Amino acid sequence: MNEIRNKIIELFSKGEIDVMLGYREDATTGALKAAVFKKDDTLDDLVFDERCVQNLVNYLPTLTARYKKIGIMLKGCDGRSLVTQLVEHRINKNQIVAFSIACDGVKVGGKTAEKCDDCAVNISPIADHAFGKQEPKKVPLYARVREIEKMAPAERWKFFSEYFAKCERCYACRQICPSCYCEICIADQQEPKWIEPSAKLSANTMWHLIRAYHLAGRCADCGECERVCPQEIPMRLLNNALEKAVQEMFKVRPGTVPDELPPLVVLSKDDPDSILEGRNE
Amino acid sequence: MNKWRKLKTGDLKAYLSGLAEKWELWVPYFNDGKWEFGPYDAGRDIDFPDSIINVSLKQLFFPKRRSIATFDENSSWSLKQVMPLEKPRIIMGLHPCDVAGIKYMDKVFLDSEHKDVLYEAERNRTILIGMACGKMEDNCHCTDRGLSPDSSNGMDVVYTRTTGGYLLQSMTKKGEPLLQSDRLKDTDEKPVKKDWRRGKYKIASPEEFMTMYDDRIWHDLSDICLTCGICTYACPTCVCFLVADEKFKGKGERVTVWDSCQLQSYSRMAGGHDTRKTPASRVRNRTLDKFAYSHLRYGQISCTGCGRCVLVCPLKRSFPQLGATVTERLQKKKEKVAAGKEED
Repeated sequence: MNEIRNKIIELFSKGEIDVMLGYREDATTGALKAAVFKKDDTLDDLVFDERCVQNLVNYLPTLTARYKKIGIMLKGCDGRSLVTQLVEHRINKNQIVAFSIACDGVKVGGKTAEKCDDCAVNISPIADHAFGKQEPKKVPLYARVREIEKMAPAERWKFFSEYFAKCERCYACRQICPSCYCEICIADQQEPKWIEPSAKLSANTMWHLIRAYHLAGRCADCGECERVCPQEIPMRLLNNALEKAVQEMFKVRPGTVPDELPPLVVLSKDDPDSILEGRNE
Repeated sequence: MNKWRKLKTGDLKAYLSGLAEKWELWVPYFNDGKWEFGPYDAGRDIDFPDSIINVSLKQLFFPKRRSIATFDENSSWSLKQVMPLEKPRIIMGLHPCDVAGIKYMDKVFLDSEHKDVLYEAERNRTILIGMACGKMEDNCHCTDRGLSPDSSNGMDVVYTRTTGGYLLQSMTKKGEPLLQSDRLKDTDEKPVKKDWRRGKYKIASPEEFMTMYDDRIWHDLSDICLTCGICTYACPTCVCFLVADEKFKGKGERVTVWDSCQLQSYSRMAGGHDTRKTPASRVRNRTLDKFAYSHLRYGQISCTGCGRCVLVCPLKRSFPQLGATVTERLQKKKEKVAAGKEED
């Protein structure tokens, strides 16, 4: 930890970063929160441990508009979402100083987070300063998705519609997602109005499916959408189902390789044409 | 002052079932880890939370999605107004901060040029039975907002826990018929007054808050805010809504849907201009609305101190703390000006 603190102090004094995006432990409550550290702030309360669940990459599009150089603490999954933002040119790498810190898995409510079971890589693929060692890459199991796949369509619909009906449309899932950064979200468009604004089953289903589709081949499975949902809607399931499909078709796990474009924006002669196969008959 | 009457714990269900015969009765239930109001079900056990109910009372007067008019193809899409409900109902188990929220909503929906008839009807058909809080949660700060956890202001009937039962008292004419029950006995017992915690969050006056409009603090405070809308949905005094027409297979509804000043789309105008483009401007709007604008428009600050915004926040940020931080900075600024130093 001191190693990280010293590095940050060094970069501040050299003027290589203007702000540092990290995690701060509240001295009185012990609660851990994302925080923007400035040059003269104390770094004593900067922490990195299994409680650092939040993906900070989400803040970069707003912060890069305010500061020239931003340091950021990254776990493996966070690093993957950073790759997505960079290859999509949402932010400029010149403005980012990546602190890659080896992650031993994070805890939500005292238990190891579910997303960690399917973790692709424990360190960020992009690192200007690396701390800790990389562990061997794991093959994702998608245990929860496989369970859903076993259900009959009617059963599946029942499972999801019960959750969708509860959605309040607060858009916390969209706001925390590092890959949901449209200037004007499709849910906010007025002409044409693709998605009705009211919190009812049909409109909510539309919102959740469109949200998931827009992340296909881009989502790094940081699991933040599901974690922040006040109604505990299992949004990772939808993301994972699409991630699994993308992986089976294109052999790509989004964000694991720097500079690799998302599979759905690249046209290659090696692309699978399973969708077209039935057309030949 | 009316007399206190006592209801034994064993008689509670019989008493409630008696009420449910004559009125539509709503009581708090504990579902999936949170308290919310639900229609009375004689088959379920009844308990009352000692402090706030997670889902605010706003929902029962001004629901998330509310149909205000209908139209269909056969009548050439002409609008038919939705008729307000008249069946009298009782909502039981609410707390002083809930009533404070409703009273604020009255100012917005009833004391204005354009009355909301559906809201008015909901208000007129409802009898409020409020409970004095047994304790203050960590996030509760109604004592700092000029309320008290055992206040009976605005309630039709007030009740409180006592050994072996409940003490009830009617506060208005509307509430009197509810106490006409054989289950209730006159008593000399009185609720015990408690000393409540105070001064957790110090908030400056509305006029002082307005001077902070151009301060750079809003940027610092909004650094990590996601600007999702959940705090505004949970807030008992956030009443913004949008109107939308929803059409499906030859039929349609005109609905009001909760909207939130924290969302990106809220302030976008025709032509694409957005008056509150940055998260800082949206956080500022909500903070000033709670602690200043509301006072300027309706003569009362709209934060009731219920602390629901902290409970629902995905990042568990404390909104009242945010108000207190602004106040602190304000004090420092003042001291600097008094000492003749320039503002930073």
